[in-house]
Amino acid sequence: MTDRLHEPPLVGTGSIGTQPGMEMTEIQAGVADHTITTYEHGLEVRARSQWSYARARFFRHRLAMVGIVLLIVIFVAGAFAGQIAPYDPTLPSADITVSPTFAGHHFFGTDQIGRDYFSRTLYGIRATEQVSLLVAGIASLIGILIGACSGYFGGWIDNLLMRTTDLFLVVPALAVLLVAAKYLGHGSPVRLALLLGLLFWTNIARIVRGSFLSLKEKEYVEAAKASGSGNFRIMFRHILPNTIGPIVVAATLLTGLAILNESTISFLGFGLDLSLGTLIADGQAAGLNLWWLVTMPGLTIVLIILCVNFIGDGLRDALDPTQRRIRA
Amino acid sequence: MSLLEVQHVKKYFPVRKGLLQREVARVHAVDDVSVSVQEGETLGLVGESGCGKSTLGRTIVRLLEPTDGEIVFEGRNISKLGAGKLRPLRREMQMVFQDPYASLNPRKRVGTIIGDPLEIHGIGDAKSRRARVQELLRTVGLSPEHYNRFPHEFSGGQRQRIGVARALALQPKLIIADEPVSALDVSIQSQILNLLGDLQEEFRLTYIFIAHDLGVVRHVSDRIAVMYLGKLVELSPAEELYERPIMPYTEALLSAVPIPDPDRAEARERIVLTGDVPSPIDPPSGCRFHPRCRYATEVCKQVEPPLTDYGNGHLAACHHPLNVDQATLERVRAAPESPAEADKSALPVDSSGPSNP
Repeated sequence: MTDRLHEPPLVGTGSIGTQPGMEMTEIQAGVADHTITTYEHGLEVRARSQWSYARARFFRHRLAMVGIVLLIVIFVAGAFAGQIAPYDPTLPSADITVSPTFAGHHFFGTDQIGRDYFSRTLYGIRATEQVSLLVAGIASLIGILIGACSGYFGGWIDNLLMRTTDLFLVVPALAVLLVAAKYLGHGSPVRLALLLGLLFWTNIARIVRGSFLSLKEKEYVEAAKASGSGNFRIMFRHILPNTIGPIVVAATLLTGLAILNESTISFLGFGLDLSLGTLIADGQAAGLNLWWLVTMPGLTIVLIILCVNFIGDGLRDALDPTQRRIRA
Repeated sequence: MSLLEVQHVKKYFPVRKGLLQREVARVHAVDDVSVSVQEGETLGLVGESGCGKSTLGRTIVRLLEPTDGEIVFEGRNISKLGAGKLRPLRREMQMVFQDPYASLNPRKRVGTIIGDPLEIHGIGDAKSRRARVQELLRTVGLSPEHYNRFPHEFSGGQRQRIGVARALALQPKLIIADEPVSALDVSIQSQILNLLGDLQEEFRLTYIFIAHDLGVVRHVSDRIAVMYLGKLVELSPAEELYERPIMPYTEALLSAVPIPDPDRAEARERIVLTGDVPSPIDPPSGCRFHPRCRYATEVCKQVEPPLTDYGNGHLAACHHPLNVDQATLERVRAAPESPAEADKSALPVDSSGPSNP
């Protein structure tokens, strides 16, 4: 609907008439040179797509921009932990329980047996980021598949899939995670991510189903059917591209949720050997005197979650087509 | 042999209710309609909103499953074909949709939209498809440079041209145009109609042209079928329908066509139908038009009239036909296209309107 209002002025494309060439020659014949250059210039103006509006809105969303810059910095630091970390995260040193300082290059201090906490945090970020991105990917994949089938086919398939989704929603996630992590996922980021992904696809499935329910009634879907498209082609090539907006938002916010859950599990001792959650768990065992052992990884988590949520908010605002206004 | 024969096609939509989704009623969207279409002709399909004309069109191209009846295309019964066998048939019949804003995928470029049917049917390689799409763009009066644009960069009329190009891509024999101009400006309507006419000549196309605007239909059709509440009530060569409507419903429809000349408009009798179209869930007994018909008598409530052949390819289903003289009335016979439930012996005996054609 909204794009109707924002139809670009079709400057001189001259195709409304049945013979597109006609208007052009008339214009050229009747006017001075400078008009022709305007006309040609008009041709070059690229009309803006909905995506470009969304991009513009996103880039002007200050919090989201701050969020994305910070997140990239944090994630890149995590990804290159092996290169950036000044010390081996597992190697004890003589500098036992140094508080955060810039003097001895222990920015985040050291723990009771002298391991550099900045390096440990970096490695923690790496594990956390692996898990969270994998979870977002896995959950989106499952959610899209289930939601798409559910919304597109409807009927008993929809009922079956949505009742299954409800089942996953009412399951006490933490309890299941702890039990499953204990037997399956100990220490491996990939397996932990699989577990989390298998539990957290429900939200995305519902969003995708809702979009498919409304989009499958569109005439362009009928047109695709009339051209001979099969169901899967219609689902994934015609409908899915129109639901990408809400999926991206949900997946972004899910990344935050995954980090929190991974940290929780690790904190409770069922997760990874070295992640932000594990660090906090170790730190709180050390007591309040060594405050930085909890605070540094804790603040990192808070910062990541904040960034992710800001980005999610920004994307949501940017992709909302009812919102033409570009936020300052 | 006709290109397309629609034989006693019914399309009912179930109305489901309750926990068990029991079927409590059926919407009689298309109820026993038979009509044939000759190669190269344009059949106009008119009627009020909700009379089942779009449903019939969609059923013919098998976007909807017919509840009953047969659709015979080039001598082949296609009403029961599965999705796989239907695919090659999609090349033969295509559809142009009503709303050019909804019928083009907003996320796809024009080139992809028009080229999609070619890709599905594996016609040519990417390069030849591109050339073909650009040729199609030119055919429908757009410019090949529009290949990489998005639908929202076009006006309504241009979008409809894109829709037409998509329908043409597979070089179909039959095109079902579902109100292709009703969403457009009046000034643009004629452009699209002319385009469709030119294309018909160029590619020997057959059209089923669905519309609720009788003025538009008159302009394009060779024959016109009038539908009311899922039934075919009149079928006639185009000019004859306008000069000599037999069914009172058609008469009422025609009297609603605006006349640009105020004096003539003043002189004309306006027949205003009272009430709404009855619910197709529980359609009236006998002749479906009887609750709103000014000529209706007892027999109209009881007996469903057969489609009666008045000669010259003019069929109408009415107990009290208009514009028919007594001599013709004595000759008439029930047409084979009559619905199964109609009483074939209940032929009209009197004419209620002016009896000289």
